[in-house]
Amino acid sequence: MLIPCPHCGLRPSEEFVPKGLAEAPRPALGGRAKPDGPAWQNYLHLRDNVADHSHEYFHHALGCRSWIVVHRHTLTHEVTGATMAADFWKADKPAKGAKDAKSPTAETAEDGQ
Amino acid sequence: MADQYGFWRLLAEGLRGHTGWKPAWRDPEPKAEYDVIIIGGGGHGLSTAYYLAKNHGITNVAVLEKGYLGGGNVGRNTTIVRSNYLHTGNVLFYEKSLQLWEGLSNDLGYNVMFSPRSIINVFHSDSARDADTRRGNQMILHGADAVLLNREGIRREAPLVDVDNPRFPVYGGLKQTRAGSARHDAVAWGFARGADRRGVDLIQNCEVTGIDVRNGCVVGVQTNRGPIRAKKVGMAVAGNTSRVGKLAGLPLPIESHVLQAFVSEGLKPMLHNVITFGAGHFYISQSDKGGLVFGASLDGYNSYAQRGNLPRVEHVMEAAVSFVPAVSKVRMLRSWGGVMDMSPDGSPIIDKTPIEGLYLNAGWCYGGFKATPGSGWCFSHLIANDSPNHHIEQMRLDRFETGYVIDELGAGAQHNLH
Repeated sequence: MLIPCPHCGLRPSEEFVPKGLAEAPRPALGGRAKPDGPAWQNYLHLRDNVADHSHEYFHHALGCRSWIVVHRHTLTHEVTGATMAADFWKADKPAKGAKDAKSPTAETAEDGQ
Repeated sequence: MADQYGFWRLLAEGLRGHTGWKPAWRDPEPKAEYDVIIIGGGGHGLSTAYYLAKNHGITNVAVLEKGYLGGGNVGRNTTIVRSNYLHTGNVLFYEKSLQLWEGLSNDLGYNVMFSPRSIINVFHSDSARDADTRRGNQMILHGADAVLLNREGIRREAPLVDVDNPRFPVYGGLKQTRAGSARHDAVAWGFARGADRRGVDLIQNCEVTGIDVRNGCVVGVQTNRGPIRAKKVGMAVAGNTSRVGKLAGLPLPIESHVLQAFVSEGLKPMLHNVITFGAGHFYISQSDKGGLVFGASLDGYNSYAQRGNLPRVEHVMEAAVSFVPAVSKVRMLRSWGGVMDMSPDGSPIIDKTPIEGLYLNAGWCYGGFKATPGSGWCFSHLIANDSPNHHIEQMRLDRFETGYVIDELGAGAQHNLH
């Protein structure tokens, strides 16, 4: 399996550590307000876990050490693109399964969180 | 009893050319209504149906299986049976399951070939020895058995293990003598035959396509063979838990991952126990046919494909050769992958759901096979009485929200830590 790291280009999957489905954004801490329990439960534990196109966090541990989100099909293992994790939850999230025209590219080479 | 596979029957059939055998279970058409529907005709679903009939007298039960009986993970595992767990929530349950294994062949009248050949978890450091000592004591306190072996003990039990490995020298191991392995298909078939004889309908090629919920209560399911009514529906669908849960609109704390396993060509007896490598996640045993059966951890990424990728194959072979160097000349016969229902803390869930009458049996991670009888025993109790027995009191669906997790590994309750 080859993964198109937005920073390094096409790299073998052994260089990456998968870190689970990217299905919900991390909830805001909200200052002194009481944490939003259901939002955290949704973020930490609950998963759609589809047998379809999905988005997953990978850490390019043996490469540029960026956090990226890989667009992959969980039945066929086909990889259709990848984005920097820092950019993933911003607007214009690519539709699941859509070929990511920008990937791989060095333009978005910012440090993921 | 008809169709018992005892000596006299075998002799009689041998004399008349094996013409008298009949199918071990019926192939019924689904009825319009049942008392209980179990979704999933794998090991857990079949044992649940068996114990519903045997322990609770509920025989108007259907097991709905989208493929064929025992065609999922019960036919795709490394057949290890053990109860060497640390946390009360797990060890109570798995010890109950191990006790059921010990009497299972007699109970079913079907040889499941349970072979208590012991399991040894090898450790490679002082701290790992301390952790395993604690685990062994915890097991003994909960009624299981455990023995701590030193380095000489490992040499004696498993001479082919590389005890003097320069990178990971073996310090000793924790042995559970009553653990072992069993014939995986026979377990599914034994439970299927036992359930069928008690009146349970085992319906194959019947895929559940919808779960009907009215006013928060289950009223039945939709299938590709028509609707079936039931006030109680149990899910035991392993890797497909999220997909079936979605039919009822249930968000579940499950991710599906692929786990690979391997078997070698047949060899003369060389490994007498189930042995696990403490420096990597690797386990190996030898089947009755002589093949070495072994595996390691998940591929790591989410998957519904029953096959894995080559980097994990390479990793497993490296672990095998580091641990038991003699296998370096052995040829591989087959490898396969199963879809695991991974829970955030690595422990299973057997609980009611927010929908009245819908029960969940999931989150088996990579430990589902040894749980087969215990899972059915406890899940059937939950379905029959609408309340859990003490073996599964901690295996709650809401434990990730409340924080009462069963964190066996001590790694935290988040996906991809297990």
